Amino acid sequence: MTTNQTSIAVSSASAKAPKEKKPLRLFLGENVLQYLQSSKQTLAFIGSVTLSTFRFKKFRWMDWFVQMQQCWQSSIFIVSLISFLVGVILAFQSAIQLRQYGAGIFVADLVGLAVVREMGPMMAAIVVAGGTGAGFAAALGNMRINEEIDALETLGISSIDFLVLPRLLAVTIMMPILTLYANLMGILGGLFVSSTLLSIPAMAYWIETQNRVGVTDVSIGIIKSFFFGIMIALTGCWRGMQCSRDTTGVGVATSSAVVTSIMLIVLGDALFAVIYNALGI
Amino acid sequence: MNAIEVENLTCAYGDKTILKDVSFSVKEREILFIIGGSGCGKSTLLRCMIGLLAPKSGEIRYFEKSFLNASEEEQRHILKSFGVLYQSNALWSSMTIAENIALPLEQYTTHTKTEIAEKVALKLEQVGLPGVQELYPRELSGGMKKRAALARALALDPKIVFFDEPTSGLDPVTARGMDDLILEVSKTFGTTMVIVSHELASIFSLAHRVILLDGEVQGIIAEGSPEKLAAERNDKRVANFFTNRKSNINPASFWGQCSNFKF
Ligand SMILES: Nc1ncnc2c1ncn2[C@@H]1O[C@H](COP(=O)(O)OP(=O)(O)OP(=O)(O)O)[C@@H](O)[C@H]1O
Ligand SMILES: [Mg+2]
Repeated sequence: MTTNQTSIAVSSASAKAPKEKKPLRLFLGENVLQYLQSSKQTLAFIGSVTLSTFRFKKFRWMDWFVQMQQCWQSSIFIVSLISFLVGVILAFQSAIQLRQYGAGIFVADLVGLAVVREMGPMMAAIVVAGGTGAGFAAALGNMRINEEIDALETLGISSIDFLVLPRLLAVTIMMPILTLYANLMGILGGLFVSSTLLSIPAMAYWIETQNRVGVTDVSIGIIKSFFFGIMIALTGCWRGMQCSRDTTGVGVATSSAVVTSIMLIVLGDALFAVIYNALGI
Repeated sequence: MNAIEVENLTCAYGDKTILKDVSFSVKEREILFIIGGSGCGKSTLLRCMIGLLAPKSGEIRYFEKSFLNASEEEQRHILKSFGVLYQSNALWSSMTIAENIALPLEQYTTHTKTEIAEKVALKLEQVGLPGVQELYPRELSGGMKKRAALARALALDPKIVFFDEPTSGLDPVTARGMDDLILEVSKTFGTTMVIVSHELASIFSLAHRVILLDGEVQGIIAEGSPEKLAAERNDKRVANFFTNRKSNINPASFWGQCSNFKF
């Protein structure tokens, strides 16, 4: 029986093997066309989400609340740990250098600014992308396979109003909150290192941070995190909605949601750096 | 009057044509079965008919009104007269059964909360599933899910119900129970039904008319009452479907065929 089975496997594999080799120009052309097609669909999705936001119909408050809760629950522990450790690492690296000049107290400035302007928003966003964003892709992908999205559409209910918008608003609200929290944990990480390693009194560190890190710096990070939230939710939902109906569909949707959002987060961060630089803040 | 008229319908996914120039009609109160081998495009045809997939060309009319060229308002009106039972039930997993059945009612009627709750209870009673309102779809068995999905499809007292394999994955006893339920609904409400199914037992006990799709022809190869199709001897593809099914799953012949594969 086993030999029979292997013979089936081999014959079906060899049946596929003689695939015609395409000339390069055809291959390139097809890929470009496919890429344009999918960009068009993505733009259409973003467009309909925008319309849906202004229409604000059929919004499911309960779903929104549950999504916020889940986002908080799944991210809070990892965000705390990672942000604290990032603060520790930054403090360590800068302490080694700054101590040579007896300028240990400036660790507080360095860690505070780096965390609040860059690392806090970024780390929170990456954790949320990996948890909540991936979760959106998996949930919506399953709904797609299970024909739940079709069932909504045939009822004349927009799946964007019904499924995407509550998730989008949930993440856009949770991201700034988680970022604030990540900022605090990062600063505490720095404080921990400098009070143990550099024996700077915790109070002095805290006051130095307060003096150096202003409202502008914090707001810069918060504004970024707001956009990161939009990107994460849209990517997760879009990958889920696009999910193909075969067995690998949900897996592919989930991992591509994570990869795409992390890429967008880093690209977005770079873009913000340029903009802030141009604005001189 | 014809409830459904499909004229020269061509369905495709991208460049891949699945069905070409398919035409048929369904009379009011009729139970029509769409049968055919796996992958021949039965679900695709259904998706076209309920507006989930835009056809390449052709026309679909419901109660003599065009569906494809309808204005948004008219289309909404037509959609409202549909009920659909999907191949995978498609119950919304994040909502309770009661919420599942209530959503179409909230969407299309102006009933109050208590009226909706009454209606939900009534529909669940009808499909023989009383008292499951507060459960989630995952807490039901396969057969119960089918029934709950049917209750949702019937929520708006539709004129036409589409079924995609209503008995697939059910044990024979439960499957016959589902058949009885479909027959009862059809008799009580005079609902027009379009059913995709493979099960000969369902076909013979329910169907008024059957159309047989074929993947190679990309269209209809036979049409008629189940008895007429079963008596067909000249067309091999039809005869195969109705008579030869048992030998297809005979394990001895299956492994016999397998040994014919060459390395
Ligand atoms: N989204 C899609 N994109 C491209 N091709 C598809 C898609 N869905 C289905 N197909 C193809 O269309 C053909 C018909 O599929 P369909 O689901 O209609 O078959 P079916 O008759 O319902 O089969 P089954 O009895 O297994 O449900 C298949 O060959 C399938 O590969
Ligand atoms: Mg099917």
